[in-house]
Amino acid sequence: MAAANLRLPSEIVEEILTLLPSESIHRFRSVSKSWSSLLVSEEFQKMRFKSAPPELNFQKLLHRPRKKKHCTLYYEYDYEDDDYGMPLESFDYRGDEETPTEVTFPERRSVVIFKGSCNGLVCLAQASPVNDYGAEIFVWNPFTGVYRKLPDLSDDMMMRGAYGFGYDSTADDYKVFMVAAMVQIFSLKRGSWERVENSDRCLQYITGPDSGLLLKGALHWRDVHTEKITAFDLSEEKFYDVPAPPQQESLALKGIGIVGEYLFRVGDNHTGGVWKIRVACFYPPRSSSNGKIKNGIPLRHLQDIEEGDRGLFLNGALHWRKEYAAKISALDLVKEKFGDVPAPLHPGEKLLQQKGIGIVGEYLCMSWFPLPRFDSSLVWVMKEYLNKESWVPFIDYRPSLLGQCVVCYHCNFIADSVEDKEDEGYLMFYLHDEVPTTEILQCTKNLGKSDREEVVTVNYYEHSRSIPCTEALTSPYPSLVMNKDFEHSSLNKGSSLIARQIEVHLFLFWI
Amino acid sequence: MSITTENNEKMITLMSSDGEEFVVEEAVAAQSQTIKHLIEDGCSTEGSIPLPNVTGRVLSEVIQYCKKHSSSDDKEEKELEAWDAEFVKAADDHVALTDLMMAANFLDIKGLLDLVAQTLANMITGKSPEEVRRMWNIKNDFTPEEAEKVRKENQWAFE
Repeated sequence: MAAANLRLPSEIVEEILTLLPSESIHRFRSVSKSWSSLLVSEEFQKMRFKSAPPELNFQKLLHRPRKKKHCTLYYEYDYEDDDYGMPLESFDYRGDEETPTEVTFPERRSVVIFKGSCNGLVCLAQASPVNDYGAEIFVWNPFTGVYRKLPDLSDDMMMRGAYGFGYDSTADDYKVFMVAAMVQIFSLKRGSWERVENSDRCLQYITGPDSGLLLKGALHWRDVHTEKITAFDLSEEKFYDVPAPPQQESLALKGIGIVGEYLFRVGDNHTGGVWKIRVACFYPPRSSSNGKIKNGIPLRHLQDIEEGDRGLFLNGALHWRKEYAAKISALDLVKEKFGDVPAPLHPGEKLLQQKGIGIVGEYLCMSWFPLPRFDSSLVWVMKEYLNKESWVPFIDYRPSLLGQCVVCYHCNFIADSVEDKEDEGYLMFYLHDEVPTTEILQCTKNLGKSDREEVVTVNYYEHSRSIPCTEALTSPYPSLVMNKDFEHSSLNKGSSLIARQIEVHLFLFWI
Repeated sequence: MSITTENNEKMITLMSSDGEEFVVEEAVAAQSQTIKHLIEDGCSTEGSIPLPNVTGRVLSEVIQYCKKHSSSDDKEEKELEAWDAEFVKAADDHVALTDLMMAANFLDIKGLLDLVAQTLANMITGKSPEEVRRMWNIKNDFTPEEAEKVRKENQWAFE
């Protein structure tokens, strides 16, 4: 058959195009009008999310770099003018990018803070041009460049306010949650802010930068006052408490976390002024049909887990460091049993202190100070899970780092809710003095290829400055509902073109 | 009438759009959901099953694929993967692959459809819009202004 006679049925075209990386899809919008309208359609984008192989759902780490490399131990909110000129960056989780790629947020005039990310859309706050502490809130797709500014709410929108961002699968809608003078929620479909009823109590503890953990269409917080896990259902727009299991009712809530599709709770038993046991319990997510929560796993006693530490998930088990022991504690989630992972000690060596554990790709890693081998590696990687002999040095000891502290950030923090992926990542850790004034972050590439990889020094990261984001074509303009702030004047050219295309679709749809 | 072989394997006849006949085991043909349903509906008892959308050349390739995949079990997954890779390689170019994909789509053979779709996707990933248009003879129906607009938007991608 000659090429001239080739007629491609649309379902075949779709089948092929869903398999392409986002970059190609973006490029092929100029093939023809029918391709263009197919590729920007929400149906196509959803289909692609579902059918594309995992490696195509490219995970990026968006990052807001700083010029100054100092920090406090906690969150920091000094928006120096210095930072404004710094371009936003994106890192590729696949590890084949040497340096970060600059990302342009078209409306950037000031310091931005990432507040959340879901299905490729990013929620960010930018310092207000008129109000010192105020913020403008945007939902932005960094890959396509399409963004949407949310309507201002007088003085309520603050840079340091608590925000949440997630997907409501019931209504097929994205929602921004904001705590200010009151709790407000913005629906991308509705196009307006609405006050959340009965939210007074949550105002007491949802403070600061905590965006809530997104799981199954609900945001989850730890309520420090009532020692409960409180959640906000994005679909029903209501708060509810996640009760502790019977075994944990008497234990103080020390931390919550999310592993795959599970929520877990770390509880403390504080008796006689001594922290005796620390316990982790796991829950399936709240069932939306009946609101019931299954029992967590039976209570286990576990010594020496670092307070509030969520544990790192690998091979179906959670891992905690044991500061002064030559092993890593592990909780097997399948067998519901605790066990130990041996540390990389040679005969005759003693462990001085564990500095941190982390996960890179499918490997567990650990940083520690052994005695008497001060000249050994700072970070080790276990190439074969649970095989003590397979520990290999990863990052070389450098004299300049002696006396400084190393913390491994676990890298399976790709929390973007499309799919649970903890397969690839950077090892990130920061090094600082006891008084953290010279903090830098080291970022290494994925370990999959070789035993050692070069360490790249990048700027210091913290939660609010970097955010995992899936490279996707999701648009912040839901096509099915026309809303009132759908103004082309506030958009740049590209998004208005897409907006127009969506309108055309709508028009046809309604005819 | 259906033919039965010595080892009691039920055979059916498939007829391509250009009149070529292929006698295959029913288990092989039933890899195609479309044919399977036709057999279930009793269409195969009346001699051969006509496949008006598939030429003999393409059909012989499809049958080759189905034969391989009905005779292999899970243990040979690696070997099967290698065979698949060779199979699409032998299909040579995008025209043959497109024909194959359309046949797989019509015959509803999911494995083959996925295989060819992935091959074609890999083929076009790095191509320019112009090259893609040439491959499938797609008409560029943008006005120069529209084309310029779309091209400008493309610059937003992480580059």
